Amino acid sequence: MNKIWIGIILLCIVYGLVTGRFEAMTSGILALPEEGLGLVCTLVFSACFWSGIMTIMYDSGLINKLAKLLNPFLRKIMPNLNDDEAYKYVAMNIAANIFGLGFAATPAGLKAIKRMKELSKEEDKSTATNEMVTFLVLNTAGVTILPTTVMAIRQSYGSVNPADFLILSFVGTLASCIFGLVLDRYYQRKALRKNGK
Amino acid sequence: MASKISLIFIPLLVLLAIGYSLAKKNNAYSSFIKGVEEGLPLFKELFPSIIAMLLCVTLLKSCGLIDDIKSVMMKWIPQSETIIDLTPMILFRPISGSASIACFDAICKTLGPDSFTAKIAATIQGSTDTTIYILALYFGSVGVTKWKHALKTGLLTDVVGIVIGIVLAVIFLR
Repeated sequence: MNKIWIGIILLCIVYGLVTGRFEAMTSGILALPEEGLGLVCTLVFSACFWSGIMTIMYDSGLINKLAKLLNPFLRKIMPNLNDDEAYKYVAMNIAANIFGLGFAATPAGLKAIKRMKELSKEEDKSTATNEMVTFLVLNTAGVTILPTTVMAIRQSYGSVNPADFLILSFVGTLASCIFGLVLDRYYQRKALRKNGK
Repeated sequence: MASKISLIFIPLLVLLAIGYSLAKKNNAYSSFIKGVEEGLPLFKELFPSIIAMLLCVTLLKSCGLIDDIKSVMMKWIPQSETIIDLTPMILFRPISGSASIACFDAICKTLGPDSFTAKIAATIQGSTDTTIYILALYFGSVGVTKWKHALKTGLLTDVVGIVIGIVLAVIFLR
């Protein structure tokens, strides 16, 4: 990250200086702290609000219920995991992700992967298990159904209808999750065949 | 149509949360207050990385690099404007959530939150995630260094998510 960050900054400043865009760059940099504050406020306040709604659902047991509903599905996609504790953490992670609450999802997710490591049957413990990969593929496909931050930013710029893309992003999420899971299964089979030979 | 259905999502969700809490005889109000409070430390966590990424995004825009690439590209392919506007966000997406959100913010600011580009960007944000960051964070936390096929699967999935996002937005939100 450090290299990318420095690289972009140096490239831009040198390019800007060569092409003579001093004014735009200076005002851009000077406006940055306030702009950053505004953006962070939008993000944090929205996260706080949804965290509040999610805590209501959590305390009343709705999230647990959702996690239980997800359970059979998780057993299907990770059949070799076979551990209630791990399934529970995975389900909680996904339930939090659904509401776009990355910061609430991460603690549960870290517990899930830690438990998977304890159960790991790999000879070399630094190798990922298939369940870890499946779990992370699901995470990286973005199971977000309610992208709260995106809506908050659109709202902050006065969007007429900041939620108008929800159904599309839901379909998109679903499609990319299915694609990710299928691709994951394909690579698993391929690795299995290779080892078999 | 797509946006009409989307509209009822949020009120329904809040209703579901409160309704279920009521049925289970829970104190919804105190849960809500507690939850909001738990979100506050996020400010300290997010502010530094947002500022850092905003520096990159601001410079990319103000040094004229993107504008110049855009005008060169548009001479060859006039339809490429939207794609070029989206490119920084798409490139940052797998690496850093803060950076891609900063790009999204810039798109909303310069082109408007209801512009076609912003809608595509929103759909893409919803159907992808910070793949490389997530893998590094989770595998790093348990000392796993051999990732098997996780990286290529995650990145290919992102590509599919982006393509689907663009296609869906072009069909339904134009």
